[in-house]
Amino acid sequence: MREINCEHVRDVLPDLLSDRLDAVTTASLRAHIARCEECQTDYAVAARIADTRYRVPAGLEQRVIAASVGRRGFQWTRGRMAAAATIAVAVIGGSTWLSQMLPRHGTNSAPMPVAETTAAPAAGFIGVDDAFVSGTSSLSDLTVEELQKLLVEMGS
Amino acid sequence: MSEIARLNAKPATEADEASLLSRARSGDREATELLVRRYLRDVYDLTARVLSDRDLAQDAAQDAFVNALGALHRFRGDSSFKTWLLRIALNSARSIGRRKGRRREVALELVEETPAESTDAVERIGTATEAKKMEELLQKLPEKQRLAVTLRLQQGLSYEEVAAALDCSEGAARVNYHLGLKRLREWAT
Repeated sequence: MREINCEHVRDVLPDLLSDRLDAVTTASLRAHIARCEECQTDYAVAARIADTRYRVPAGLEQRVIAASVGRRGFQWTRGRMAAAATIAVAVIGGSTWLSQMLPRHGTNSAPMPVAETTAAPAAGFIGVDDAFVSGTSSLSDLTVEELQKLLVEMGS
Repeated sequence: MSEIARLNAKPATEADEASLLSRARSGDREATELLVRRYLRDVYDLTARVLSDRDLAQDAAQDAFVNALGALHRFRGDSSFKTWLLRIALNSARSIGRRKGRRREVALELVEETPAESTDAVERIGTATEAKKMEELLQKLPEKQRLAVTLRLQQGLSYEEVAAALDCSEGAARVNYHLGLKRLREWAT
């Protein structure tokens, strides 16, 4: 067992005052204090300090609770991070899907007869519908002959 | 018994505290209230001892809770929550003290604890007058000694916890506690 001296008593006074020590240690300390005037004074001073505290002013608790609950900033919790990740995946995935789906729709058919790149469209074929869907052509791009053919098709 | 009453009635266990902190971190209002109720007295006691002014001590206590609960995601658990909170409270009190200057206009009110029944050979000294006298002696101590003594004796912190709260070494916390107690003994006799 550790030798009891005055410095050790002062070290463990908080534990002695709050009964946090085992019975044997407590008995040894009390025996030392009983025969040591200096430690008796330390014990009395420590007990007085331990027993005297400031009274929390009325209303402070509610004030602190209101401030703590009301003024807390946004916190990244696990749940919020999971929700944000789900939204991010949906937005990025959806954008990717759309960007892949729209061109594929246009390229499933024959190339659009664009004036600059297609000098002579294949005879008998006018990609009018595809051109409208893809938004890359207009009636003004068509020749008179093609317009006449289109009117015939629409009438049939 | 309500949850608040039940949790207030028992001392904080690590598991209980971890659960409470996790809930408060997620924005649970009841958990936040419980943490305030559990530690307000310790926080106020510390800010009052630093500032010696009731109004400023209240402001500092409020700042401490708002700052701590708003930064819970940064609490890593290296120390106990109480120690971490007290350190924030100390910073809040010092910051307010620097900004507004120390005033001693609004008296702090002492509360007399009811000592537990004891069969001590050494009886506890104890009257309201003596409590007030002891408080005056405490206020005469340098801040570090005063805080080391009160954190050890009133809040039951270990030297390691006192060091963490005061942002000093464990050795410094121990020396300040012993020097403070020695001075109080000399003044008291």
